[in-house]
Amino acid sequence: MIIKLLLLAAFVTLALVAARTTPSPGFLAVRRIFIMGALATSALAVVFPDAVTRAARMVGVGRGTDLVLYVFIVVAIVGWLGTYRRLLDLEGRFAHLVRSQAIAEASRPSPPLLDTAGDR
Amino acid sequence: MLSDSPTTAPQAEQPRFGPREACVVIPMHNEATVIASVVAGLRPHFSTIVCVDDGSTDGSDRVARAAGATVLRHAINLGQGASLQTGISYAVRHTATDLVVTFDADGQHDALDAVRMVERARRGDVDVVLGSRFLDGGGLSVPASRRRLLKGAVGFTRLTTGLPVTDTHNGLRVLTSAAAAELQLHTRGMGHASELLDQVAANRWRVCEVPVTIAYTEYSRAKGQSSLNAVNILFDLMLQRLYPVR
Repeated sequence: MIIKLLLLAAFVTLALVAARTTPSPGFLAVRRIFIMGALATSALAVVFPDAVTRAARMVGVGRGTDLVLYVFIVVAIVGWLGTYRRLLDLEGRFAHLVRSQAIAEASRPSPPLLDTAGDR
Repeated sequence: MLSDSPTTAPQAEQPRFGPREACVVIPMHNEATVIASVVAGLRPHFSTIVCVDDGSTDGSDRVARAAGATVLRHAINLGQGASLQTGISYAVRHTATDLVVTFDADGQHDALDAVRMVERARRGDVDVVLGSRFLDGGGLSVPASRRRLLKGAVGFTRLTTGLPVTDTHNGLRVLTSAAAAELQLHTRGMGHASELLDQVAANRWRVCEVPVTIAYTEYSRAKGQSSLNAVNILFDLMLQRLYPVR
């Protein structure tokens, strides 16, 4: 069945993308184009419901709703991975910030250290 | 420990100790009851002791400072790996240290072990000295369940890094400042011990182990990690490989 190939391909691509893409203007552009495409496709699917069923049949899925569900799952995972990546990145920056502040505000020991009387 | 060199250092951060001083870095989180004795135990041997307070809420920072340590305070809790990295960065950049010693805050390490490891590092033929509780048939005081887990971690590390280590999760280590400056710990939680060894292997640092004792006190056991945390550590490590942070 074609859908099996398509879905498996989608998961493999996801794994690769998740592992190596770094945020870049090019990547952002691709994502925006993808989102616009998805919106347009959704609008078409609303206007022509039969088209979804026909598309489903073409890839070997029985009903249009099933195809929609599959696509939804893939898209949801993409979104989740993206969010997770961003969260990791944010945590990294956050840690960096807290660390810099801790170093900047280092406080020396309150009593004079041993053997250093008069050394202040 | 009077430094005889004129300390006309341009930066206020420059310490007043002479060169070639080892600096001890202690990550701590809510250790107010023991940190004073840990710092006091180290003071006779080390002039610079840096405690990194990882967002403690029990006043550990005040206790540590009063005991004679320099305290760096994380505004919020970031995890032990992050604390170590903060302390090491500070030691390398703001103290005149040639060796960085990492030491646990819960009192399970022996200051004299740290001294022996520093002496070992001073011979100059290694970049990293690791404390091992299992070297030379040691480790009999380690609780059996913990021992099994640690052996598993050792096997995993040997497999993935090729380092012939006998103890991968010992908080007592000595790094030359050159190595310490290169170290980049990203794992903020407990996976940093493995991450550190990964970097030792990746940078081809010369490493050796020195037998140390671990005091499994009631306190350190209560503070210690649950064995289930091994799952978290494994997961962190895999994520680390999947999502290398810069």
